[in-house]
Amino acid sequence: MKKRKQKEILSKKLTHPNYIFCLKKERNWCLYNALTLKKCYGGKELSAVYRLTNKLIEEEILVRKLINCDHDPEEIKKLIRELKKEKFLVYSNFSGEKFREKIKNGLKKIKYQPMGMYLLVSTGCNYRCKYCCLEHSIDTHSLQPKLMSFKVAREAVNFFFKSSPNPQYICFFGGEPLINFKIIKEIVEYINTEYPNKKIFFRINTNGSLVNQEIAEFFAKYNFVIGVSIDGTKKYHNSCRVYPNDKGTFEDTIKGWHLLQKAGCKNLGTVAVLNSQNIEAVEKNILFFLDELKADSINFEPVGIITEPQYLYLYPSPKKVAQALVKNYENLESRGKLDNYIARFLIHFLGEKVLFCRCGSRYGSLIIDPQGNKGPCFNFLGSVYFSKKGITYAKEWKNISPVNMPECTNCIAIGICGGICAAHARAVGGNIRSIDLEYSCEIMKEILRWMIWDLEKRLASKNEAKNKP
Amino acid sequence: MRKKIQTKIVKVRQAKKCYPITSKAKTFIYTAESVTPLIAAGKTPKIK
Repeated sequence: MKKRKQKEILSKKLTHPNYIFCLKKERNWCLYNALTLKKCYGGKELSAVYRLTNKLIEEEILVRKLINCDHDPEEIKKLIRELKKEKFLVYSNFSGEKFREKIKNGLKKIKYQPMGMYLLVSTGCNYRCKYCCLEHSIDTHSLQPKLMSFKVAREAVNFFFKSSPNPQYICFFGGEPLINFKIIKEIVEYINTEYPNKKIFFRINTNGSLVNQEIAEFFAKYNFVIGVSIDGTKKYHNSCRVYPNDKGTFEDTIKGWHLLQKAGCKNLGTVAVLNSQNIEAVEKNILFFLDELKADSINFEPVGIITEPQYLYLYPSPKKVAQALVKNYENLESRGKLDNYIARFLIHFLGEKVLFCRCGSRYGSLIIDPQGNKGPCFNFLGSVYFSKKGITYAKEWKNISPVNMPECTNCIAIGICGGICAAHARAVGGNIRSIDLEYSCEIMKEILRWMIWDLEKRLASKNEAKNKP
Repeated sequence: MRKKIQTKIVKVRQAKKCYPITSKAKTFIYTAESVTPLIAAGKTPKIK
């Protein structure tokens, strides 16, 4: 009897689970649920609730203590009710583990379905970018690059359309894919003849230097989504993107860009690798892309894997990377355009849907090498993950999600991060399950902090506008 | 004098309205090179 009573009392005690975080900015406080992505904004009372529920506390005592802080009793009770409803506060008999398992079930629903296929049409490249992450998995420096044949490309296309219930795009990739433009042309025409009803679009990532009139007109005709690798203005671009003789490549890239623009390519974007050089003038570079190049989109990717010690200085600080990505988002949004780096997190953050896997390699990318081997990511070319059979490691890759990683259990970004790049994980820790606390994890936490307070700012200004007479 | 509590748990609809990317009021045309995350999030990008 006594035991039951004790149990009853205990079950009425409240606490906050370890996936609830309390953040402060100026006079504002936020309780953030890292698993359900719920956010609660308010004043000091939130901090008091958080502090008082660090240890188990009876609900009545909690209410009393908060009332003593000069708050209205009814409002306090309502607040506690709401916080309980949204699992910011739970009773002591609440099983956090069970709740985590429930969240994890979402991961089971994700099935690997190739949505986009990347054809690595050429392993060779005429540039020698200092941070190139591909030169370690394919021999981009070879004087005899491997080129994809039409037969291999055709078989890959047939495989893609047969195995994908929802094919979205085909992307041509390299090395420098335009070294093998002949195959690009032939395969696009093949798809248009053999699969006229497939509503897919074509993408290409190029350094632009090999673009000529014919190529530009071809891309315009087939409405290619084009990403041209440009790191910024001449000074910043040439600091990393060079020819084998160390000569800058800016002029040739820009020449290609203007040819594409002149030919009427409508989906022309820049792809810049954020490194310690161009990040110092990120605003200037964004304006260069938007105002001078008139880019339809700007994509920033933080520098990935640098294995050569002499180029390690190219790593920027994670805080600066996050700030640059946010700046890009804000600039583009103000012009009615979309930045995809931040957008991928924002969609989940706002919709309160856990982002289990950030990279397409975990759920929907199919990479084909020049020999016709299929794999999940071009950074793993030549590894056990590539085979003629198809994607055989999909389940293993998908399960490397923060919700499954013990190291991520107490991280504020667990529900929004989607896991770091598999190639980066391998480079940092030796295998694809590694984490990278100092760089990738820090970038993500910075982005999350920005999202939390940017939402608060926008909600406040909406409220203000509403309350204006 | 009791202090008024301004605390609010944000509703998904409210949050989405704050950003053009998720607001239904404005349709975005996705022209970006990297559209994979959007497709994964269940959005079909419109190509110009």
